[in-house]
Amino acid sequence: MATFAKTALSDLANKIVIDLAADTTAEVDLTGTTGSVYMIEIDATAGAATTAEPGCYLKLIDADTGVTGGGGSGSTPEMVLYAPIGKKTTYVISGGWAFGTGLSLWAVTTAPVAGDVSPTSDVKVTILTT
Amino acid sequence: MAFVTTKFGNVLPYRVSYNANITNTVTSNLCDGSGALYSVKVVNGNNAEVFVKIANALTATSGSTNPDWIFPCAASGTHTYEIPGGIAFDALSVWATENAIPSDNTAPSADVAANETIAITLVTG
Repeated sequence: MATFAKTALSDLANKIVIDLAADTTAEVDLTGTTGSVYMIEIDATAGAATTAEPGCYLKLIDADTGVTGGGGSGSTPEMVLYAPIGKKTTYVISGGWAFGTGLSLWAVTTAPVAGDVSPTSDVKVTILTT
Repeated sequence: MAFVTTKFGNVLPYRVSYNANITNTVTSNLCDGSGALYSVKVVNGNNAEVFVKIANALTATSGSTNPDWIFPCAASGTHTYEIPGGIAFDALSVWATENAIPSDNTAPSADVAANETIAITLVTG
């Protein structure tokens, strides 16, 4: 009898990474391996937008060490995603963003690399990845 | 290469903006005002990674403006960043560079002789 074998979900994102309160402190090598990011949800509904803090910036880098997050010696993010405070924003990446070293991220309230101010309210980040 | 923007008459509130070969030259106020960003597609025909940078601003300067979005696209890759529901903006200024850091003003290293181009398509509303 013929046999076959399949690896379940081999071509699909099969990991969910959740950071309940992303801030300027980098979360490093979240999956512990290489992979691709297919979806990022930034839930900033815990706060309310203000003139001083209309949104936050989720910054991602393909690195598994030496990631310093925000600050004057901050790492240079490879991907920056803006999300308004008070809203839930989703980015879907068809084809996936491949990270060949490690998936690391942090969140701050300003766009510059040196931005070091964490969002005032919790910003929950959920990532669908491999 | 300049952006070409297509509207759908008065039937749909969406616009499609296409640039067949984006460079580090900033296109300012792409949508002629405010709107919402729904999708960014990057087709990188280049043999190096490219970083598409977008500022929520009437104008920007490549190499000094801190972009509100940085969308990477791998060498010879195609990525579509879709934003269901969209994100409101006051204005969009768009450019691309070879490196991620906002201070970079290096044009994507497309090989003209090899017809390498970096095409970008934005859907806005």
